[in-house]
Amino acid sequence: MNKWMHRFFMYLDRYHVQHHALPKLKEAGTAAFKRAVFDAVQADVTGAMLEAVDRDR
Amino acid sequence: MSAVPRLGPGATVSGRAPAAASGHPTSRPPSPPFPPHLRRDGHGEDAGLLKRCTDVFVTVGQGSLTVYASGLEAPLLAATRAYYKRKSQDWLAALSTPDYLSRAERALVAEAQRVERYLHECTESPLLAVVEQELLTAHASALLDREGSGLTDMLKHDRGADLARL
Repeated sequence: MNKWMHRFFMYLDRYHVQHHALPKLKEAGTAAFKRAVFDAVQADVTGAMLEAVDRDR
Repeated sequence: MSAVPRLGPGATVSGRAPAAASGHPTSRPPSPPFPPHLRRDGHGEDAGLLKRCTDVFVTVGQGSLTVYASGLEAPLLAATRAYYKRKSQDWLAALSTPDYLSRAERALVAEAQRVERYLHECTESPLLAVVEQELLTAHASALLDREGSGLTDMLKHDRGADLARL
């Protein structure tokens, strides 16, 4: 998703973003993913991963 | 002695015939209780999935590992500490000092492999430090002073391999 958006907005990223010293599209996309998805599920994911490690031991 | 094996197949055939005649719909053997990726044999966990989850923590940090360190590594270290605190009590109660040390050695190897399989390499030294602390440092004197299998006994009986483990 981040990659498609990157291709789509390549031109803006190269000129407009540079010019206004805004965060790069890739960084902005990752940050948006973190806010929208990662922060919401992180606690559950960590818990599930620790359970998996526990089973693995 | 030989009558028992001969009875076995005979009984199976005569037992199977009425079952087939009664028209049981179960033609397939029952499927195994767990799909292979859920087995608990040490390598049954889906290492690829766990590795990808770890990578998300690293990527979302955008070049710094703070998200990984606070979101995954810190809880993992706490869980590891609790796990080996419990294990060390079990092992102390059940095993002699040489056996305990070989178990501890195996645990350290297993944890190092775990880091390699699905964690970030920066976790290796803190994780091994936790395991060492809980399994060895915390019980060092209890292990060495033990009657019958402690250090004096190892020296007395020239147990070179066990001493090397120390």
